[in-house]
Amino acid sequence: MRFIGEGDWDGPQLSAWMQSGVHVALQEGETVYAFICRVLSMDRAAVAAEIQTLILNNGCVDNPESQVLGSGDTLVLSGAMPGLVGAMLRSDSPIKAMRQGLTPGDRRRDPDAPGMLRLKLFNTVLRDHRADLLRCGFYIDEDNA
Amino acid sequence: MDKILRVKMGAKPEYSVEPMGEYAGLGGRAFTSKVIFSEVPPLCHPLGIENKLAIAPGLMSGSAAAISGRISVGCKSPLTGGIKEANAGGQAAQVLARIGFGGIILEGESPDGKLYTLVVKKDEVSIVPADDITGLNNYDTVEKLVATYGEKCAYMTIGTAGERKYANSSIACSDVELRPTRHAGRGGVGAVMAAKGIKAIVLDDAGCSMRKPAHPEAFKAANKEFVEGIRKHPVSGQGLPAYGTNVLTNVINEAGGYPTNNFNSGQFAGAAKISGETQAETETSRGGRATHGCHRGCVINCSGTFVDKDGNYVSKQPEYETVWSHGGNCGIDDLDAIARMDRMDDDFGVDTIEMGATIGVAMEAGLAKFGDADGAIKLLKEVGEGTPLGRLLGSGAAATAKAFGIEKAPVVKGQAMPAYDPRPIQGIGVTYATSPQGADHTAGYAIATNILKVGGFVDPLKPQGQVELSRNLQIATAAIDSTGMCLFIAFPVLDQPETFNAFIDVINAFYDMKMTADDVTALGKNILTWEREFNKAAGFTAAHDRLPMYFTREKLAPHNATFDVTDKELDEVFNW
Repeated sequence: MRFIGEGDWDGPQLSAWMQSGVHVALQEGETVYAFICRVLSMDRAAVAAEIQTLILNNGCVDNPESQVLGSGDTLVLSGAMPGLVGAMLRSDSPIKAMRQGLTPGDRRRDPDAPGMLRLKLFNTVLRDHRADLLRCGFYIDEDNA
Repeated sequence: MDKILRVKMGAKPEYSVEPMGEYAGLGGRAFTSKVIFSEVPPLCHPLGIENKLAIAPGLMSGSAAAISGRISVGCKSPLTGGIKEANAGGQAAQVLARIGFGGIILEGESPDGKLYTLVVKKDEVSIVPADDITGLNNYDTVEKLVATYGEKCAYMTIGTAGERKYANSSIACSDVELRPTRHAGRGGVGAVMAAKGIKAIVLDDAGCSMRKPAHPEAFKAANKEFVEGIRKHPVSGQGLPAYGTNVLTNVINEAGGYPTNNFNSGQFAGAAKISGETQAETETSRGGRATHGCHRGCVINCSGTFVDKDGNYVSKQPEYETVWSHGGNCGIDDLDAIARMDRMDDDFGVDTIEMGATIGVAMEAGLAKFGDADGAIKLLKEVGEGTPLGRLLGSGAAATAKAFGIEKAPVVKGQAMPAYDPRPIQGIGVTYATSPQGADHTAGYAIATNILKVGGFVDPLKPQGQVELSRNLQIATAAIDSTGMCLFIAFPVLDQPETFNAFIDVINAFYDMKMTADDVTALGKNILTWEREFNKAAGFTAAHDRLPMYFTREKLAPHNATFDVTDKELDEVFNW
């Protein structure tokens, strides 16, 4: 894997990497909420306002403050989505009953990246926080470098 | 908007201008569904003389109310055999409302199969032969009409798909740039317009002014707050303007609900290549536009302009549903190919959802391989050329599946499902199954309902919550469809109580009303009741309110989910 940090890259390639997923180091017992605050330099109000859609291992996260992350997880951070389904997918959506089966699945162990998760940033979160993620630093697969 | 234009086609086309009568106070879908329910024999053939085509602007169209440019088109559907309401953006609703018509009703049949142009002006209506535009597709049709009638009119047209009476033919509405890019797409409404003998409708509001509210100051204040609410909300103020509806691709794919290769998988490996993020970057880097309104008065601007590598216009920014239907649903990850098919769909005049779903079925049948963009374009060309295969494909996904012996036709009531797989996202499946319109993602779109207790509050934690939610969402959506407001207003209304209040105040100030949530609920229920009663009389039963059985049997990766909402639960959706 190859480390990417502040000043290394910018431009369309960065957007493609962050959409398809980059490896970010986890801290022991870190929750979804704590991870976001640390990696993207956000506070509680900013997270609530900017990241309304959280998907962990293909399932919706309704309790980011208690959901603990683990090595090999895939976490998606997105702004609020349009459409009925977009509304369903929002974290703790009032109509979450309509997507009852969409719970986080088992994490996929990634032997190439122990102690890390795969993070994907979409739409406004990608636009507004790519610099924060660069500042934190991440790894990409050599195939994508 | 105090009169109806009724056009009677026959050996000698004629028209009458009538008061709104029993349709007074009804706009958009409320108007069209009431007309079809009241005036069309449910057992008639959709292309027969007894069917009618009803066209109506929303209640707020033609006014200064923000985002009020939706127009509804209704008839008995050639695709589903049931009642149909298809609505579109573009300029038509605003112009028709300013001319003063609450609706147009086309009836009768095409004299000797000839097509006519209906020209509607402030104090003049004419029905003239359309020989000069017959046989043309939508882009050429509108270009010729603009040369004759000018750049200040709005145009509603059909392409060759409509002329050939394909069950998947649409009616195009011209946009701000006078392009035929906004379609009343679903259900084959274009074929019914052709059957009535109308190729084009020219709407000319010269000499007309914007509709005036009953209480100008209160209206102005409410509209200002409504607009502010829309602009400050993250969906309507940020996500949609920046990325368009295609912002959904990455997220739905990540949730495992993105129908891929004719609903054979819930995730598409090429999603990032066709996502809204990539699409917006592609458009802006080439000199196109990622932010654009489909009609004047829109403050969301969720559309855009897609250009090729040389900066030449290809199509409007393809919507999420189109990118999915021609993209992931067919295994295609090439935005240029998708935009080209979007242009072809608009030009021929077919619904992009049904067309992409049909190509997916054709791929399942082996007519092309999943992922073969050239093969998909070749199939679409057949539709435009009117070859025997093209005519079959133009008849929709269900007909194509039947012709090629394929079980996997993702349809309800003969209409193709949109871009959300109902197995992992069961709640959308409830709406697909039970909507009188056939599989329709917008039927239960108005998400404000539960929060605002419109239609009765439901505990979302109850196991059966999705049935009650679907019911309430369908009620509220039917009501909003009558206002002419774009359904994207639902988001700021959901999250910002002050924006909901402003929305209600806009309508009340305009009409001098005191509308309440109960009134909204009653209107929505009335519309759904008319539609369901029509369908029942046309032969529909509870058995039609079901998903294809393979959705209950075949597991969808990555969740390995099947649709397991019971028939009993589905039958409870309309128990009120």
